[in-house]
Amino acid sequence: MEALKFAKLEDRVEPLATQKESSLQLDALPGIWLNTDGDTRGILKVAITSQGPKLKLRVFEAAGPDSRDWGEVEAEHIYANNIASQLAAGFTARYHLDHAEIHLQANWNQGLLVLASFTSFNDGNKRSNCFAREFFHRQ
Amino acid sequence: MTPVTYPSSQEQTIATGPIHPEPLLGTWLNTNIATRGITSAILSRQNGQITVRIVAAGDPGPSDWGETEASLFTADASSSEAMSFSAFYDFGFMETQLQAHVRQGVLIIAKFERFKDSSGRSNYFSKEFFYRAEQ
Repeated sequence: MEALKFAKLEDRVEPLATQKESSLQLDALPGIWLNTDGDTRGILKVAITSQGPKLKLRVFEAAGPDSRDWGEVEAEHIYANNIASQLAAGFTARYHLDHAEIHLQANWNQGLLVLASFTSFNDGNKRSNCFAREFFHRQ
Repeated sequence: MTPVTYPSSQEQTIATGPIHPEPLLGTWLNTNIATRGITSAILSRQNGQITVRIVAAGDPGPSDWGETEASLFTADASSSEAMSFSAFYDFGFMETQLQAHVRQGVLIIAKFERFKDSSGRSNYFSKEFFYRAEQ
């Protein structure tokens, strides 16, 4: 049997330890996730739904007394928390807003959804591209 | 859906200039010397670009992933000090998205690994922690 290629030792596993189908169980991620910081000026809420093997998310951002809906996007990729797991525990997604591109990366850990956002501005204003990391609990 | 056409309240500020990479530049070593993942990350400036070079645990010996461009990010839109970067490696059979940030002097690298071969390995997420090597 041909050895599997790997870029680092943790990617090297016995072929028998893997499965023919790598689709992940999505049970841990769908739901409404609320920021643990009720006074956040960033992301207030994330609504995640599963549709077959796909995840869709809808982000609501703080906007004064209201929230701003970024709309729904499909997760780019879904990840387990280890190479042999079949349980989805993270995802990446990308929003193309009028003023910025925002790359989201999320992981689920001990009941918390940890969401990192990488914002690259494209509107010509002199703002620095910025990073934020926020924590969410289930509603 | 309400289209988003303007920045959020936390983004309505002006930075003082380009992002300074210095807080990230240098060699970062994994806090776990027995790691089977990334052993070190070297960030440097070359011809105005910031690059990262990853060295991982391999067999036999270390696996040098080579250099790739790093995109820098600050803690907020008005800051000019880099505290985060992202980078991407494509190995053909798999690709790795690195997303890293510094917190209290520790560089935390999140790795999103996606396999493109038919090995059946799960795409997976992991984090590793790094400290700055002495100059």
